[in-house]
Amino acid sequence: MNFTEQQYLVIKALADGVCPATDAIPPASALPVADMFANIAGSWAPDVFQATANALDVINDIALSIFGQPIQHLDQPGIATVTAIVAENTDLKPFWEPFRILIALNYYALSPVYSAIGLPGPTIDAGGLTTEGYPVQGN
Amino acid sequence: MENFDAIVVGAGATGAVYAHELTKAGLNVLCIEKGRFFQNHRTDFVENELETFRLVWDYSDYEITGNAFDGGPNLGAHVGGGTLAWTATALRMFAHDFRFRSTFGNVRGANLADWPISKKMLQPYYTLAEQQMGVSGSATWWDELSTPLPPNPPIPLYPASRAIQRGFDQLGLRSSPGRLATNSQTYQGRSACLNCGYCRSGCRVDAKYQADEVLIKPALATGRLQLVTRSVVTRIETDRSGTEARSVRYTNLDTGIESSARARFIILCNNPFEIPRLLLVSTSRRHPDGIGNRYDQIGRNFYSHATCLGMGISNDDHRTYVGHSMCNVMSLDTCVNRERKDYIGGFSMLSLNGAGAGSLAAFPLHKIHGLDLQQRMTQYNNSMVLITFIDGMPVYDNRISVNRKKTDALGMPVTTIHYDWHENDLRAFDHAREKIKQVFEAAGAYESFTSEIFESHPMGTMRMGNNPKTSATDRFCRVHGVRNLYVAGGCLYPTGSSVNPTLTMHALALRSARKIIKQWRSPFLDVSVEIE
Repeated sequence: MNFTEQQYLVIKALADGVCPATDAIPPASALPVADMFANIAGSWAPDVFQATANALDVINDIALSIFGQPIQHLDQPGIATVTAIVAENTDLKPFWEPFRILIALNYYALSPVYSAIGLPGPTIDAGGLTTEGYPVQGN
Repeated sequence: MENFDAIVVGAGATGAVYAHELTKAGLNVLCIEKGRFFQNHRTDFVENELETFRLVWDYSDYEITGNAFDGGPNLGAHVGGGTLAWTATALRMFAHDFRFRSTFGNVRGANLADWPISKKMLQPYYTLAEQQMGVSGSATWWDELSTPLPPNPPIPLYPASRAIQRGFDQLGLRSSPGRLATNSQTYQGRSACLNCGYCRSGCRVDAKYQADEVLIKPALATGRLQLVTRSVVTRIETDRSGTEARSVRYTNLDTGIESSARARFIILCNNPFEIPRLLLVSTSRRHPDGIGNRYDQIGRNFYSHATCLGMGISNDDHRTYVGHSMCNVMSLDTCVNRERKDYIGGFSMLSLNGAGAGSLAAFPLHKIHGLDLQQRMTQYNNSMVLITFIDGMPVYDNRISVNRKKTDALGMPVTTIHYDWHENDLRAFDHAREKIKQVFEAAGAYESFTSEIFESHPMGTMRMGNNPKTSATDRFCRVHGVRNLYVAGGCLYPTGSSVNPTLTMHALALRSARKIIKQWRSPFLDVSVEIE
């Protein structure tokens, strides 16, 4: 099971709605976050996958009805507006909750992101960390 | 058909205990495991938050109803089971946990019961479990006077844990370093903890107790353990009378080849969903509704730890990334509710450290998106993190069953889970959430966030008890009415405490393994009248 190209672009834009670029951190769309979500969703039961695909279409319709253009063409404030609407929409909750969890888990597990927020990443091969959080070898 | 002294179904946290104890005593054991055997942890495991999901149980085939079950990543899926992905929190339950109904009474809509054994009966097995695991810790406020110290000293408190401890102190909550099955020093040839923060991705240096390394490998070294991986047990056969389990049928997932094996003892060590499923699908003339299900008790009284995860942000540099992940510092003062009159039970409060950025973004910060989320996440290392596990209420109609009209790829009816929160769970959660915020505020946080309620540590479904009309297993963890069919794990717990369940699972498995060894050595012993 695969999403359509437009549905994939909605995933990518909505992922940026959750995790946008900052001065120090790349946006979700610059990383393989949408691909990870699409891969996981591809393994779901057909009815769950179809419901997800339908939700993505609905979200794009929201962008079209408010801004007159597909979500992937919106600027960051526009995407943030659509994201806020989706997050508050009760009907979209079955889509939104797992979507947001998967996006967040995937995004912050990528090294450009966790490094930017101050996590050292793997340290075992360098001997680990002291209990105060410093590299053992550089202590 | 091959013959063994014992067949262990599932090589996880409890299956490893049985495999180790029984082979050490001289029994020939077949252990059948669905997952893989990671034989070189240093190269098989990867330090990344997402790696947890490679190590845990997949619920995607299950049918789920109710508002409480969300398939949390708690149960294992490979040799070593949940101990590959666990946080290694190794706490003994309280004496009152074994007498929950007598202590607190019943609550409308719940199905509370006392355990058929006491904490005193389990204490020697707790001590042995702590020695096998290499538990670290010091004396705590909550230990009984006679409780021996664990074999290793505590791991020092991390910066974020010290801040949380200040919060506990401010509120008058007693605290202590946690009890962990993670080495604070080299123990039995295994490394001390290197504080990398990735416990849940599998410990690459085995500083954390992982059952495959500590128990399965020595069991294999005896030459008496046959470990079959990538295989699923699809059926248990009993004798004509239905009172003795005779054999199991299993299928290799890679080849599709079906095999059968026979044994004097069969021990079900898979999880609280798959054990009832296997019994319910093993129907016969003597067991038309599934083995041991004469009184419709198999799969019932399901519950979990209702859980809250909290994040408090301060201006201080806590280097939150450093650590073993859970319970560097803890307070168990809230495990008995003394503040509110609207619920019974209580909740533990345990620190979290290490690499959990995605989890914080996904759960405590679940209502925040975009630049607001990024702004909080850049303060990861200014954060304190707490988790609370709440006494969940067993409810008769929260249950595991099977859908006989729908089968999986092996032809087994699929598992169905029905789980709704009980009102007591929700009220206790409300209190836990409030208490987390109070601790953070007292510790200097200027902003705090908490998750919605979610389930951890599935329990119940094979309740222990003396009465077959109200429980599924007896006090030695045998399926009622089938004298050589044993069950292990959190599924046995009539009530679940507010502390993590694994140490108790290990202790119960040690106790029942000793029972099996006695029976094996004295086959004519009348087990029904044996006194412990």
